[in-house]
Formats: sequence, structure tokens, C-alpha cells
Amino acid sequence: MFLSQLMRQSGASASAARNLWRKSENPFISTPQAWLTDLEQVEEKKRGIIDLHPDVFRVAPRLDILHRNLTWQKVYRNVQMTKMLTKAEMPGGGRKPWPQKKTGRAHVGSIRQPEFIHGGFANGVRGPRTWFYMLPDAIRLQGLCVALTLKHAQDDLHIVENMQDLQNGDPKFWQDLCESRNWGYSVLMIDDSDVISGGLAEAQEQLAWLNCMPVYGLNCYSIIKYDTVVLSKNALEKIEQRLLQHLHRAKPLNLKYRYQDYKEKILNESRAEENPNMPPIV
Amino acid sequence: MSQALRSAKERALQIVEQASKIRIQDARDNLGARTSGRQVRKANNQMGHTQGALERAAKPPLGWIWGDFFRPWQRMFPGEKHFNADINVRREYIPLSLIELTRLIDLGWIDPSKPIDISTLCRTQKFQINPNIRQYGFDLTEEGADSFPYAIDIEVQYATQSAIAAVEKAGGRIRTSYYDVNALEAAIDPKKWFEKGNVVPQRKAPPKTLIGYYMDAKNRGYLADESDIENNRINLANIRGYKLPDHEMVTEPLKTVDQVFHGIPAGSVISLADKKLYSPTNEIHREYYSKQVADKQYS
Amino acid sequence: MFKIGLQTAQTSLTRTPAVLSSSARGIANIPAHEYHIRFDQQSGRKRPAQDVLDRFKRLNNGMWIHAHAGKNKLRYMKDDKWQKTSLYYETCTKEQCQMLDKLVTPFWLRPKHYPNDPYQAYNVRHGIDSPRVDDKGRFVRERRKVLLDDSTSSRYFNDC
Repeated sequence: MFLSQLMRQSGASASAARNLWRKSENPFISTPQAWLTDLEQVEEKKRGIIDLHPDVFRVAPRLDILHRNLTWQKVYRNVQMTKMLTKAEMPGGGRKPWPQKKTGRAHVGSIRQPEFIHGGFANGVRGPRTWFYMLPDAIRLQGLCVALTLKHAQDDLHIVENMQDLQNGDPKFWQDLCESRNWGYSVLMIDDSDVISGGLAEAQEQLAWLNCMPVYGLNCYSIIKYDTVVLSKNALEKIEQRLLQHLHRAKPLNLKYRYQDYKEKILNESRAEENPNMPPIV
Repeated sequence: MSQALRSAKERALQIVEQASKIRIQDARDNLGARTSGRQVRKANNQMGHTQGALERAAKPPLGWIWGDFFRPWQRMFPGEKHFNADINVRREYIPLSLIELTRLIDLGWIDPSKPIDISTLCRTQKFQINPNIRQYGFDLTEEGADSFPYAIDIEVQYATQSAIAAVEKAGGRIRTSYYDVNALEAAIDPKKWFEKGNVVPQRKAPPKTLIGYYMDAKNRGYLADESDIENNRINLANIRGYKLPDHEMVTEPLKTVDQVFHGIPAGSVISLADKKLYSPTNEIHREYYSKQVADKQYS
Repeated sequence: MFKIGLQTAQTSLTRTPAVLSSSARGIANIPAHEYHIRFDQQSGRKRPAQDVLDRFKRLNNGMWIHAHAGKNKLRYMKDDKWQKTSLYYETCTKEQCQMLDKLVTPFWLRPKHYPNDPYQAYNVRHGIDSPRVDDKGRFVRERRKVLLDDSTSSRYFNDC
């Protein structure tokens, strides 16, 4: 409401009213809106207003759900490859160094005992160890919605018409653009296609703080890490479509990944390999 | 806007709007969401002196709460045959009440103008049937029977008399029919079955303990005579004191007794990619899939 | 006093001497398989305790029932009241129910629906003020209804 008044004053073109799939009929749920701009010139030119889906861009700001997502993203890929050898795994040490009694020395059976210098480790780190786990689908979905909501609520989410084949690839131009629009220290551009060409591609190669990402790479960590997130209009459509599809899917959101269901598949993984007996170690 | 702000969500978002930029380090768990267990110190550990002492110590048998170690409480009661002895022959059904069915139709999960069977009900993803643990389909129960509005054509595996009366009062048609394990597996997830390239199976005749149920017109069994069923329908209406609709509301043909899916004969292979149905041409195969076999269940 | 005397008299007459029997079943003579939860060698899945399945039944509301202890013993010499009440089933205490839940597999903990079940009426319990749901929000004592809100559910179903 407020934004449309503003738009009438600024004389921008007609608002892009989208029909939002399965939007709630509840009159108390207001539809979030965002300005539609472009990346052609340094100054921000408002092309219109775009409606966003309240189930994606106006959810409860659950920082704890966001935290679970961020922690998961940081942790699940960690692998500890350190392996401290035990007494049995160290070379040598099979002989009793001195008789058990009457030497005045400790009763020892091997020079690789943990008490010895260069001995084995009793309770060492025994890698390889992983911290991999799978966050439930519902939490991951909600995390994405929360991250997008936070960005939108703090005016850090911008929608642009187009990202492909832009004219100007000069880093100075992009720096001025982001500075004049108050886009903060780092900017993430999200487009629906995974190939980007033109000015934006040239600029993001030069600038470390400017990055591009396809829609399928969207994740909580990146959304929160970058100061500003810029979506192309196509990307917005795709994100909403994908998230809503999963939010409204008939199957339960807490899918069980039980080992006994995947056992057959995992054990037969190497069947298609060139040498089934020696599959490559990933 | 002031109305919208009343919700907890909007109030929280208002705080977020006024806050400084939320960064990675600002996301944290709710207070008290994770508590670590109290560390039992070695001095307080009453479990045992050493690991070896624990290993050698006499331990009570499983489930011991009180009593002699050799005569724990759970073994003092006599065994009872009615409890679990027949678990291997018992058939479990998923309860489907008429009020839930009404709700599924109301909300558009099921189309009442088309025949409803296991595949239709499972397509809503609201029910899980696992034939491997002897779940044999749906049991239509009578909750919500007094206000069932839809004239539907439904096929379930078991139904109470009240449920049958409720469906027929609304002008619908109900049949109870038996699915053997193989047919049930195909009916639960047809897509998975077709994608595997499996042949559409033939529905076997019920085992001998169930054949009486499914041949009884009172239960609207699929093996009963249609004229018997019609008589029983009128009879049930007279007994229960309701008026049947004047004209037939459901006129579509029924499945044959060995058919799993509507319109797909047994023995055919479905290609989802080509949207085609391949029937067997070989005479031996055709004969095999047209022969009626009984389900060789032990009960 | 009288009871103890009777027992000792019985044992001295019918059984082997107490010294011998105690040496046969010393405190450490409990076989190892009795105090371990057993797992299937092939599939690696837990096996339920057969003792429990033979003697107890779990109702859908989570309560376990068992027969009267000594139900089949010396019936002829017991009184009429006992003849009647010994046929009743008894419920377990909360601690016993928790213990029995641990001794069986998830298959037995699942609510099951059988048509014409004689235990159907006992599968629900009313007037309990303990929480309806567990820590994950699943109903403890009743079936989850498909697409039904609580008030509608309570109107049509009488199971909580």
C-alpha cells in the first residue's frame, strides 16, 4: 500500500501484479513488495513494483532455524583425516625391552607403549571422522525462506529485470553502482541460468566482493554472508516456484533416510565402475 | 497495517526491520534449546569401580524391574494365546473414516466423480500402506456416517454396515474387494511399478478365510452376485429406514475380479514415456494372465 | 510365620535340598543372552523379547496388559471370587510399560487397526491429563486423523 503510493508520486511504470500461487486468502497477511530496477546505469531507476509471495518472503524470522542451517552448512563437509597410531600400529616394539622384575625399572612390555617417547597414542584422534548429517527437508526449506525474509525486511533484497548481456563491464562502473545504491560491502547476484555473460561476468571476475550464483546454488549461508542479494526476475519466479512446490507437496516433509532402504543402492554403487573391485576413493 | 502488526510474526519482523544488518554471527539458537547433560564426575560415578568389575558382575535379565533374578516380574505371568500368537496371520487395515473421506473430497484431494480405490487414496500421500507387514488395504469406518454427502463409487477392503449404509444412502456404490500382496504393491504406487517395467499383476482370489466375507452380498463383496447385492441394498435401506435415490447415480462398469487398475487388463506392460499399454500377444502369456488363481496364504 | 513354615515344609518334602539348588543357580549363572538385547545376525535389526510377546499385549494407547499371575494354577482349590477375577486382564504400571516398550521393536509400538478386534474398546482411554503429544508433536494415545482439526476430530471420534 505504502509502496504503491510512493510509486504514484515517483511516476514509475505500472506495477507488475503477479498472481501468487496458493497465496493465503487471509486479509491480515499483507503481500510484501519490492522495487523492480535494472543494472544499466549507476543511478537506481525504479521500473515498477513487484509482488512477492508472503509464504517465502514474509515468514516468521526464526533465527534459530537459520542458525541450524548455517551450522549444518559449515559442519557437514568437515572431514578429519588425522589418525594417531596406537601401540600396535607403530613399527617395532614386539620385544620386551628388559626383564619384568629385578631391574629396578618399570615393568614394560614394548618400547611403543604410550608412556614411552615415540610410543603409540592411547586415546588419540582416530580419523577419518566426518561430521556429516542431513538436516530435515522442512528445516532447510524454512531456513531459505527465513534468510530471504530477513534480506527483504532489511531492504537488502533487490529485484532487477535482467542480468545477462549487460553492456558495461568496467569494475569502476559496478563499484559506483553498488555504492550509489547503498548496497554494502558485498553483493550476490542470483540468476536462473548457470551461465552468465556480458558486463556482469567481466566485472565479477575483477571484483572479489561481487559474485554470481545460479538459483540451484541458493543457500542460507551465502544469502546471509553477502550484504546485498540481487535477484533477477526469472530467478525470483523460479525460487518461488521451487520453494512453494516443496512447501505444498503432498509427501511428508520429514522424509526418512534409513540405511536399510538405501543399503542395496550403496553396496552396489561400484557396479557401474570400470573396475568393480577397486572403485575410486572419493 | 495496524491489524497485521498484531501477529507475532509481524511484530518480530518489525524488530528485524529496525535492527542492524543480521550477519552470520547473529544467528543463534533459542535460549535453552540445547542443554548439555550434567557431567558425572568419576568420584560420583556409582555405576561400578572398573570396567572389568562391571563386565563380570551379575546383571539382571532383560526387563527386570523387581523380583528374583531367576524369576523376574515379566516372567511371572502366564502366556496368553489371544495376545500376539496369531500376529503372522492377522490382517491389518488402515482405518479410513467417512469424515476423513469427506474432508479429502472437500479439499480437492480426491475427485468424487471418478471411482475411488487404493490407488486414488494412496495418491493423496496421506496414507502409508506397507504390504510387507501384512497391511491389506483400507477399512471404511463409520465415523461421520450421519452426514456423508457424496455419491461416490468406492472400493475398499473392509467396511462396516453403517459405512455401507451411509455411502448407499448418498447414492453411491461401495464394493469390498481383496488385493493380494503383489497387486497391493502395484496399486499403492503405480508409477513406481510401471517405471520398473513390471507387468500389471492379476488380482488373486482371496484365501479361504476371507472368501466367505467377499462372497457375502451383505458386505458388498466383489465376488457376490450383483442381483444379490441389489436386493441387499434395498433391504439395508428398509432396515435402516432411509430412502434410496430414484435413479442410479453411479453407472460406470466395475472392475473385473482380477483387475488391479481401472481400464488396464492384467498382463499388460505400461510405458509412461510413450503413454502406451502393451498387451501380451503370446497365447501362453495371455492364458496365464486370464486364469483365476487363489492366493496361497496359509489363512 | 505360618506361610514361611508351610513353604519350607513343601520344599523339604518335594524339592531337592536348598543347598544343592542354590549351587546350581549361583548369582553369576544367568546366561549372557538373558541380559542383552538381541539383534538379528542377517539384517542387524533388533529382535523383540519373546518372553514379553508371549505374556503381554500392548494396546494402541500405549498401555500394556497381562493375565493374572497364577491364573492356571490350582484353580480347583481357590474360591469363587478368585475364579472370576483371575480371568480379568491387568494393566501394567508406567515403569513397567516403559520397560516393555524398550524390549520390543517399533513394529509392536505402532498403533494397529484390525476390524472386529475384541480389544477395540480398550484401545482408547479417557480422562487422562497427561500430555496428548510427545516431544515431537506426535499423538501418544490416539490415531492421527487425516486433514482434520482438533475440534472436528473430537466431534466425530471418541478416542482421546
